[in-house]
Amino acid sequence: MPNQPFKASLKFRFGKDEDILRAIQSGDETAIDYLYQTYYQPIKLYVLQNSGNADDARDVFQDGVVAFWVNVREGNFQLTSEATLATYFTRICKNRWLDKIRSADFKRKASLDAVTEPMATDDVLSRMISTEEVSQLAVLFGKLGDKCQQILRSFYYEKQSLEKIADTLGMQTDSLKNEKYRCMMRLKELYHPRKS
Amino acid sequence: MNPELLERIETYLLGQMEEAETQSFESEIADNEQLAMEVEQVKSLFTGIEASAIRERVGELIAAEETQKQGKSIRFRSVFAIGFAVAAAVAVLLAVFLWPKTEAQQLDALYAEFKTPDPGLPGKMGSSNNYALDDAMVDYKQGNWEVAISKFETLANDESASDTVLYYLAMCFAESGRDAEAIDYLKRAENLGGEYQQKAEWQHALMDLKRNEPVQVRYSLQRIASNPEHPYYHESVHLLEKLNLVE
Repeated sequence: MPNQPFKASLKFRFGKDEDILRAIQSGDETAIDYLYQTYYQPIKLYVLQNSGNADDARDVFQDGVVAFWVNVREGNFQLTSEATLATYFTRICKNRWLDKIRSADFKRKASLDAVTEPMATDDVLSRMISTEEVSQLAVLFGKLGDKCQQILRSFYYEKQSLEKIADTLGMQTDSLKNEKYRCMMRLKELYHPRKS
Repeated sequence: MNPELLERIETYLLGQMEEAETQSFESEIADNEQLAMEVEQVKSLFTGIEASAIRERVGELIAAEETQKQGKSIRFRSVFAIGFAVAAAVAVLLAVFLWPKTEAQQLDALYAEFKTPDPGLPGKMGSSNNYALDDAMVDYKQGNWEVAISKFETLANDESASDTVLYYLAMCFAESGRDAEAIDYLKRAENLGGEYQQKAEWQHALMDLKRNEPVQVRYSLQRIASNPEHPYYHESVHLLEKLNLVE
C-alpha cells in the first residue's frame, strides 16, 4: 500500500511508455516522480528480499533512475517490441544490485538464482552507459564545494542566467563567470585527471 | 582548456550556436583529435552535473517518505508520554467526533481519496483536422463543463466518434455531477476497445463508487486487478483493500 497519497494524475500524463521517454528527453522532472511512485516499492522489496537493507534499496534505486535518465537523454535507449519500459527499468535496478552483491566488499550472502538468466532486455542494456559509470559521475560531482555545485547546477542543469545566479549568490556577474570556469576545471580534473 | 574554448564548446553542446558556426565547429572537431577529446570531456561534465541533480531529486523523494514515517512514529510515542488521563480524554473526543461513519460516508471518503481528474490533452497547434476536438478541449481544460459538453456532444453524434471524444464527454458529465450520463459514455468508450478503454474502466469504477454502488465497484475493480499490466492495477488493488474495510 503506498505510503504517500498516490498521484494518480501522473498516470494520465504518463499513460504510455513513450510519454515517459518524451518527458525525460525534454528534461521534465515529473518523470522522476512517476518512476519513484511506480517502481520504488517493488525495487525496495526486491533488495530487501535479496540480502539488502533500506539504505541499499535507496542507493540502487537512485543509481537506476540516474542511469535510465542519462541514457534516455543521450539517445542510448530505445524501446523494443520485446519488453516494456517497466521491464527495462527494473532490470537496470536489479542488475545494479547484483553487481553490488557480487562485488568483493559485499560480505552478505545473497541468492542470485532468480535473476541470472539472460533476458530480452540485455541487448539494449549493453548499449547503454553503465549504471556504475553514471553513478560515479554523480558521486565525483559531490566532491566539489557547495558553492561550485550550486553554480554549476543552476547554470547547466536549471538553465538559470548568469545574472540571476549572481544575484542569488550576491556576486558580480564577471566574478561569477570566472568562478564558474574554475568550478568546471575542478570538475574536469576530478573526471579526467591528468596523468603525471 | 582556456575560458574562451570552454565557452565555445558549451555554446555548441547547449545547441546555442548558429547553424553556420556549428558546421564550421564540427569540421574543426573532425580534423582535430585534441578538440574532439575536449568536447567529449565537457560533455561528460554536463552528464555528471545532470546525474547529480537527478540523484539528489530521487534522494529527496525517498527522504520525504522516511521523514513522514518517522513523524508518524514520533507522534505515536508522544501520545503515550502524555499519559493515560490525557489519552482517555482524547479517546472520548475521538469517540464523539469519529463515531462510526455510515457506509455511504465511507464510500464518499474513498471516492474523494481516489478521484482522478484528467487534465485533458495538450493542444496541437496547427492541426486543422482536429480543430473541433482541440476547441472542445480548451473549454474542458478551463472547466467550462457545459460549453465543453455541447462541443463534445456534437462530435459524439458522429457515428465514427472516437474513444477520445466519448471519454472526455464522459469526464465533463462526471465533473458537472451528471453521473448517469458519464457512465453511459464511459461504457461506450470502453466498448470501442481503443486507447482510452482502460482509463474509462477506471473512471467507470470511480463513478460507481461515487454513486455508492459497492457491488458494482468491486466487480469493476476485480476485473482491473486481475490484469497486472492494466495501468490502474495498483490503484484498483489499493482501493479494493480499502473497500474491504468498509462496514
